[in-house]
This record gives sequence, structure tokens and C-alpha cells, in this order.
Amino acid sequence: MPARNEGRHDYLFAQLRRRMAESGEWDRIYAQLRQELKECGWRDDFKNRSKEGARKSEGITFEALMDTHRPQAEGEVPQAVKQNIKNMIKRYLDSQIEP
Amino acid sequence: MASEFETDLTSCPHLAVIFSDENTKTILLDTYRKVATWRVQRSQIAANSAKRRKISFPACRTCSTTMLKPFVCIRCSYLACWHDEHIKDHLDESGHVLCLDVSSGNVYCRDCGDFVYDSNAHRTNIAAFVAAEERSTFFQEARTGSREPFRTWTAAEKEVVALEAASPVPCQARRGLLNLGQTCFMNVILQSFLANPLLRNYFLSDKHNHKLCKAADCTCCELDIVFSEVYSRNPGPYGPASFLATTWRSTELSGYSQQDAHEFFISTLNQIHSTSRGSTAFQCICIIHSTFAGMLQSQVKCERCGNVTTATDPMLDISLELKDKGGSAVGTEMTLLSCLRRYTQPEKLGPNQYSCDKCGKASHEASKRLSILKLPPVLSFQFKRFEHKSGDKSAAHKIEAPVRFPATINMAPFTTLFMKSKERQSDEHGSTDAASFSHLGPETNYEYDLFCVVCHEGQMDNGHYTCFARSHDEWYRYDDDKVTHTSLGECLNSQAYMCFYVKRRLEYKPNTTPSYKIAREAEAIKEKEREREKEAARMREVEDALLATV
Repeated sequence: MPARNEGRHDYLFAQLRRRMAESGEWDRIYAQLRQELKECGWRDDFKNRSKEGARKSEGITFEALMDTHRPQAEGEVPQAVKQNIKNMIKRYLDSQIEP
Repeated sequence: MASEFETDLTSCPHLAVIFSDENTKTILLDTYRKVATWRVQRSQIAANSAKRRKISFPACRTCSTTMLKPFVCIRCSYLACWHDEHIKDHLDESGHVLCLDVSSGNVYCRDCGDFVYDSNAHRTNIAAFVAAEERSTFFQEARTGSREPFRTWTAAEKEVVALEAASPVPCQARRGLLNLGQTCFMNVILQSFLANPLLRNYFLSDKHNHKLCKAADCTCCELDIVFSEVYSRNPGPYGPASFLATTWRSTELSGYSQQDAHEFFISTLNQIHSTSRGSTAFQCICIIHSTFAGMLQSQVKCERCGNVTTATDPMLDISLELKDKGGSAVGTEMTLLSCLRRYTQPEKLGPNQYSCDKCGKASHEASKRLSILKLPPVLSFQFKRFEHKSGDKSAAHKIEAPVRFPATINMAPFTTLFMKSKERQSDEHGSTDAASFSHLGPETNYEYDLFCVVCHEGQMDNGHYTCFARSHDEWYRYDDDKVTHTSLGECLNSQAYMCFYVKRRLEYKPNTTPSYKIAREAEAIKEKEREREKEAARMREVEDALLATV
């Protein structure tokens, strides 16, 4: 049986997620992430690797392609970008939750 | 019309069936429209953090979580999430087959087990997205008469008849260019023209037919000849000898020695402009200016009294410095974006370089700032790799350092409009937002896609030019007559000298006949009138002669 707190956390998480989406904050942070990944060349590298990979494996499905390339792509996200985005998310959460 | 070419490509028979039935097709079109509208509204809310507007996000019908990446069933509009496979569960349970990814407009087919491509669906998605963007663009509504929404071309009666008699050719072609003796500098620029969608459309639609043009030494005709040769379906390399000869006759760039590709580029643009019908010295609408011309704004601010003066200059391309003013090499990696940031950052003017009109003193504190006032459809960048030591052209030094450039670039931060907004925002709120500002229009209006990269290897006087160019989504490397299929990665890893980008969205004006055409038609009517009068006068003479004999 799930602990009482877990249920409350699930509810809190769902609420925050909805608020984040509806206020546009999620999209703003996502746009920042997309911009930073584009600037450091991550997006072009990932696109090139998946495209050339798909060319070599005829008939591969989107999901199979993602499963193949996702690990390397996730590993190549620069630490600085990860930290910056985490900070943005934390700042938003701090603004939404009473101390 | 019998055609050896497939115009409708589909990888999924289920999706194809929907487009073949008018009822299901209409429903699908409507779904695309709704999805596009929601997507555009969503980006507007994100862009405006100051205004407290909200948009409702759909919740997954299966698990009730707010979906950031919603999927919708094409048959019954059931909304469910992809991440936990709830949309797939719905498709399995209901027997429905197709669903749409709201964020991208891509279609997933349960039967095919994959995202599928259908050219009809692809076109419908883009059309719906463009229409939704246009409806939300501030400039689109504000100045009526200056912008028109995009409309797909439909053939008029005359055109339908002409099309039935015509034999279709593919709209992409590749041919190597023979090196006629150190002419690789010309070959790469010609390849950049061939890969340029706007120039290609102009010449393939016969807008300057070299067989009808009567001008001598017409560079525009020469380019038309090059296009005809490349699209002639002859696969072997072509030697652009007459283009070269015309260039010799038209400019000081002559002889067989190696020229600078960028110099040749600018010189050729000017030649094509001057040999285009209807070109003017000011606010020209010839194909060169319609394609390449933008406007730069230079703003000078007197720090003492705050007086601001602005000057605008037309531009055909942007040349970017690779060295700091101090002459020191740049420590961190150089990118196109960092060069552009440097290009548009405020620059302190030295003493005596500027005297302020308002406060009347030769100001020691003035700063100048460049920004792009008007973005052209094709943006060309040159990296200033060749340094000439004051006047001595033979003692040139090449900066070999690679510059990283992206496959797509958003030019919004470098535009005058954006910079002004940012200044105003920071004045009002004391902080600026990383995201775009909604009154600047949707992001895609500022986005550009790379289509050609000119590379130079070796030293200035005995180097070699090659280029990469894109045909739809495939990249090719052009080394004079050798054309090889390559990848985006190979292109981005090369040492670029020039980069060409094409705007993702074009702006449309209401169709007006160019003034030279109106003048030509008026002249033709007058000519007909004169002929008629001459004929009438002749008839009268004949009648008089006949009557005299009676």
C-alpha cells in the first residue's frame, strides 16, 4: 500500500505540472533548453547521427531509432546546460511553493 | 498528364485512403487546422510572460495528466499521452489506426507500427501551420495592402492547357562544373546560385530567357544558360566558358589567376542586377535584390545627452570579422552566433569620431550599434579570413581557425525590432526574457536554413575552393567536376568561408505588374495604333487612286 505522503506528492506534482504548462513557463524553459542545445551544436550532431544511422538501417522505426541513439544524445548534453535548466526549474518551483 | 514522376509519396496505405475520400479528408483537414491554431496560441502565451494569460492544456483521457506533448486520434479525437503509451492503448482498444502528434503534426500509424510520411499530409500540415501563423502575425494585419497571406497556386485555364502539352522535369538537378584553369572560385559561386531556391525558381520559370534577350554581354542570360545546362539531364560535368568570358568582358576581374570567391560573388550579383530587365538604382526589385537585399541600421548614441541618430544602409550580404579589435585571437570557440553578437554589439566610438548635433560637443562618449532592419530571403555570410597588410595584396594572411555554424539559425536577436523591444523591456521591468516577444510575430518568421557552404583550403593565392550544397534534405560536396553525396555532419565539420541561409517563411505582397512591363504593354498598344493608322492611310490612298481612274 502506498504511503500517505506519496499520494500527496503525486497530487502536488500534477498540480505544478498543470500550472507550469498553462502559464507558459514550461514552454519558456523548453525554448531556452532548445536554444542552448542548438547553440552548442548538440542538435545538429544528434540529427546527423540519427539520420545517417537511419539511412544505414533500412526500414528502422522511429522508436527503434530513438532507442539506439537516445543514450549517447543524453550523455552529450553539456553539464552547463543541464545545470542552467535545472536552476530555471528550481526557481519556478520556489516561486510556486510556500516555504 | 502522363508522368514518369511520382508526385504523391506515401509510406502508409491507411493514410492514403483518408485523402482519397472527400469526407474523411475534410475531417482530417479540420483537425490539422485546429491543431495548428492551438500550437500557435500556445507559443504566444509562452512568449508573453508579463501578461497573465493562460491557455488550457488537454489532459490525457486515460490517466488525466496534463499533456505537454498531446496526441489525438484521427478517427474520434481521443486525446492521450504518448509517453505512457495511452494513445497506443486507445488505438488497440478502438481499432482506430491513425493518430496525430499535436506538437509536430506527424502521423503515427498503429498498423504500420511507426510514424509515417505522406506528402499530402505533410503539405496539409505545413499549410495549416502557415495559415495559423499568418493569422497571429502582427505585421500581417496592421498594414493591409502590404502583405498577403500565402495561397497555393492553382492553374488558370490557359495554364492547364499548357501543362498538358508540357513534359515535366524534376525540380532538382546536380552537375559538376569543369575547372577552366583556376576557376574553382567561380564554380563554387555558380553552385551556390544553383542551390539557391529563389534563383532556381526564377530561372526555371523562364523569367529571363536567354534565347529572347537581345542584350549583349548579358550576365543574367549567362546564368540562365547555366541553369538550362544543369537541368538538361546531361549528367556529365559542364564547362561554364561563356559565363567566364562574359565576366571578363564586364569587370576588371579578368585573367586566369585565382580570384577571391566572395569578391566574385558580389561582383556577379551586381552584374546580374544591371542586366536584369527593370532593375533600378534605388529600391530595386530585380531578382538579385528581391533575393539578397536587406537593410542594416546603424545607430549612434551620444552618451552625454542621449541623442540618438540612425542611418540605414542597404546590404547584399554580411561580412564578419574573425579577430577582436585588439587583434588578439579569440580564446573560446568561434561560432557564427558569437560573430553575429560581436557584429551587433555596441561599439565605443573614439574621440573626434562623432560630434553630437544636440549637445554640440565633440563627444568622447558615443557608441555605435549595428542591427538588421530588414532581413532578406537569402542571407549570405562571409567570414573575413583573408587579411591584407595595408595595401600590399601579395602579403595576405589567412585565418585558419574553424568557425562553427548551425544548420538552422534564428535571426530575431540581431534585428532592430527585437533589440528595440529588449531595450524597452529592460527599461520597464528591469530584466529581459530569453523567449521571444509576441508582437514580433511567430519565431519561424526569423528562422533560416543552411543550403550552401563555400570552403577554401590552402593559402590565399594557391588555394582551392570547394562547396557543400543541399538538395531538399540531402547534402552534396562539389569539387569542380566531382560531385559526391555526403552528410550534414560532413558539411558542418568543414572550414567555412561563406555560408548561405534561406528564410523558412517568405512574405508575400499583392501581385503588381512591374512598371517596365506596364510601359512595354502601353508601347505595344501604341505601336498597334500606329500600324492601324498607317494601314488606314494606305487604304485611303488606294481608294483615291481608284477613284481618279474612274
